Amino acid sequence: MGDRPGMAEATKVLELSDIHAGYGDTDILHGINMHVCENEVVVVIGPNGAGKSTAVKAILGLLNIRKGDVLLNQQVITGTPPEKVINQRVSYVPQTHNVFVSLTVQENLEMGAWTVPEGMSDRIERMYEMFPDLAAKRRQAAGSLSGGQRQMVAMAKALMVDPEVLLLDEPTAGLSPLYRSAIFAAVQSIKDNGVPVLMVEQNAKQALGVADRGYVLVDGGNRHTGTGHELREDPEVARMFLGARD
Amino acid sequence: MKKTLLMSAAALAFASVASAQVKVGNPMAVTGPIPDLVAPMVDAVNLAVAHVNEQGGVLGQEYVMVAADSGCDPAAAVDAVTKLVNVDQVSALIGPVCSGATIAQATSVAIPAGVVTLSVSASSPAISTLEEGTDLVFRTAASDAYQGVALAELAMASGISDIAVSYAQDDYNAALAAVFAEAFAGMGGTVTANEAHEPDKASYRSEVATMGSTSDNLALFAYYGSGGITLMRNALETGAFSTFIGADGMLAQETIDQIGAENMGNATFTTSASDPTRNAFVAWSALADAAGVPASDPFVANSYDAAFMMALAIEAAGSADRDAIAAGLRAISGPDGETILPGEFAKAKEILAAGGSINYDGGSGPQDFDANGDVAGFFSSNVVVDGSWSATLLK
Amino acid sequence: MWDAFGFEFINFYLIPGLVLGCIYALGAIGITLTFGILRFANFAHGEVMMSSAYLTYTFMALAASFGLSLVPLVAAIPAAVLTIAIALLIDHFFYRPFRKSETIIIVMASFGMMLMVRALVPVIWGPNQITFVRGITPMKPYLDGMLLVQDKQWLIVIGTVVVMTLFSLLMNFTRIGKAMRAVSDSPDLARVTGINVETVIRATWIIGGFCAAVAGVFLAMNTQQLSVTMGFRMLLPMFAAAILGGIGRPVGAIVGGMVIGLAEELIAYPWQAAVMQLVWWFSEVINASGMTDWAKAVHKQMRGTPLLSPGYKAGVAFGIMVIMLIVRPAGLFKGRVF
Repeated sequence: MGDRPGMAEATKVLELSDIHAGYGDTDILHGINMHVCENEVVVVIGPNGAGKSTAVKAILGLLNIRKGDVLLNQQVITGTPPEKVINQRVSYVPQTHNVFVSLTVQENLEMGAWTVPEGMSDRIERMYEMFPDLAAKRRQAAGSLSGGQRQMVAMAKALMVDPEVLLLDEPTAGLSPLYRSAIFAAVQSIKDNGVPVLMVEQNAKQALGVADRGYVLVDGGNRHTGTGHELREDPEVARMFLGARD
Repeated sequence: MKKTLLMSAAALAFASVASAQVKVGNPMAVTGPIPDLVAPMVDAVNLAVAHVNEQGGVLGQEYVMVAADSGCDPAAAVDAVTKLVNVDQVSALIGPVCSGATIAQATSVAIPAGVVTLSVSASSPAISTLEEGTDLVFRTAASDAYQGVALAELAMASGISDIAVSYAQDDYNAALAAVFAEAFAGMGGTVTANEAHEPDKASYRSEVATMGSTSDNLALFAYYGSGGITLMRNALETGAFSTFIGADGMLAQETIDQIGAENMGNATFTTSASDPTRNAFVAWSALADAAGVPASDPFVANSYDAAFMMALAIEAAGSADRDAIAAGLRAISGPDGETILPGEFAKAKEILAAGGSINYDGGSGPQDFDANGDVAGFFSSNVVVDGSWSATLLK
Repeated sequence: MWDAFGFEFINFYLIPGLVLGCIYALGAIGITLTFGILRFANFAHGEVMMSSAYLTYTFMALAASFGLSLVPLVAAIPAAVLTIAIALLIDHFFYRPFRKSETIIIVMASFGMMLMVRALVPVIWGPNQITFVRGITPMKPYLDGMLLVQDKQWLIVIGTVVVMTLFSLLMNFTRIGKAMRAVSDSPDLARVTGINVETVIRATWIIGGFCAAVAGVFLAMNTQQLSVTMGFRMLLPMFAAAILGGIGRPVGAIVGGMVIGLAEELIAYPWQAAVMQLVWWFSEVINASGMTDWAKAVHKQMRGTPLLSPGYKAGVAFGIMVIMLIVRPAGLFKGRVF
């Protein structure tokens, strides 16, 4: 699948509109807006505590939304419990503990297909094509793999349902530069396979390299919005993140 | 302040309602390893209470037994007796049944609270010296210091010269085993092994295997319901032992039912018994038969005697106060005074009212307390005949 | 009395230890599954075992009243079904409401459940022990009478192997088994993966309940009697087995159960006497008659004395558990650490 021209008119798969949300009584998000269109990689960056991961969790229904709406394919899903959101094929890869360590790679993928078991073996084979590293390790326990390979298992597992949108929470955190590049390449190929990606990232420069668009969140609100290229060139963004990345 | 006054007024009101009764606690081991043995003992206690109340009650008030379950377990006994002493405010305690439970409740609850315990079947020698200067623990069952010797004599008499000893780790069985082993060795016998076993295990095959290599005879001190039957069964299955002797804890119909009478030809167990030729036993036996209580079962007569003597003691003391009861028990147990047989409560009251003194003579024995609150007793040996236990009095 | 030679060790220590180990292992599977998947120590597990034994007895008695004589294993089938139903009902009414509460609350709920079941059994069946199988079971001779095994011992060991094989196939090759392992790994990830955790929890109770039911019947067959505390008495060794193997690791629970069962029986073997016997044989080989006499005498003296008094059997399980928690809290198979 190739890029479609006219990104602005593209269908919005996922949209957050004016979300106020948080844990307990404290709001962390104070009215954020963002959306993901078909065939897009969208990156969310921002300083620690800006509410990046919180925004992703708000989509999944893992926390209380006090105001605003989450829309999936133009349908309001605000307040839907996580199980139901996931049943609507929103896949989520948490930042840590994102694979079943005592299950084999193959079993992890099978678990990924829990909600859509039909045609599972074909899809598993497709995943091995997409992540050839994993094919050789299909019988190994996921816990025995390196961090980067685990991240790939986690992403492959999340892709097993042919998701409407894939949510990644800091997929390159703690990885070596080599694996970081591999993960971003994988994100690119996921997009090429027609799955839109919303990714929270610390490694802003590299992430914006693969991003079609990006959002900069600060203190639970939108600060900057633009294409990956625009944000990379923005002097304030550069000052805030790009110089200071690890 | 007002509230406190109100509350004490309420408490007083309750106390005056309650004072129409004389309450004694009865924490028997209704559940636990020997429920079969305890059931008729509870009946005997209730029979004594019925007799007392039919004949005018204690101090003109109703004689009430407050039941609780000590489960033959030290921790459960402490809980049960704490409730009886603090909540039910009983004047004294009869029961608890098992030695371990009796010792635990006496040392941690009854003695500190100044409440008399009159046990009906706790026979551990350790109970004799439990009181530490007080005079608060009595019993109507003879100490195993006597039973262990009786059992050793029985073993020698039946031609056993070497024997292995296995005992459950509790106050009753351990103490009895120690007395037996010492007496048996003292009489020239050989104790080939002397090992404790943990109650309630699923299997005792290794225990019997180890000891079985030393002798064909086993002295088994255990409660039938917490390993005794299993151990005996394992010993028979493995062929480790062929002859068994032991004491009260195994003496239940359950033992025969589970192991099978055909396998119990060489098993003899002793227990505290009554001499059926004594007048007091004849009187007790008539009363028990009329009420359908098994007069000769282990500790049943002792249970009746305890409940009856407690009523006499309170009557003699003229008060249900806790600190008057020990003296009351000593006053009515003789050996001096006019003999009172089981059931003769009205007669006893009359004599006491006239300023006389009485000596209770119970179905289980003369019940004359020594300085430790212990009594002498009789023992019987029991073997299986036609599928049930048959007792012979040991002289 | 027999001679202390030959197969005594195998007949009276090793085989009973294996049989006991089988029962512990079956019980520990349920404990470790609940620990792994529902994340709490289920104190009522022993009572589930006991219920199954009493129900089996009841079905046998019912059949007998119609003139049928059921062997325990047949009566155990409806009993196991009922036991599983009980486990599911307990979960639904007593544990499920606390699913999102602190762990300690649900642990206390299971503790309460344990007391309730144990109080209910005497109400229904009476406080007395019940004879499960009357009489004594003879030991059948094998290998020219050297090896002595009871039929029930064969049955328990083979039955356990069958149940464990089925269990391991289920855990490794079925969708629900894999999901159980996944939830045990990480319930949060399982939830965001879309795995229906409630279904997995139900499966856990069914499988754990089945193993407990089998363990309960085997226990009753082994001791031939039923008592109100039979399940509770299994609790400590089963927890010890689960901890030894590693919390949440079914394989660990099986190995742990075997180790605890064997350890409890084997510590009572007169090992000192066995060593003396070796000395005795050795001295005969080298023709040192003085040494032979000495070894024989010491052996005779020692053979009735267990290495550790069997009175401390219960302490063995506890000791292993405590040492394991100190030395290697994750257990032999790297389970969860709390």
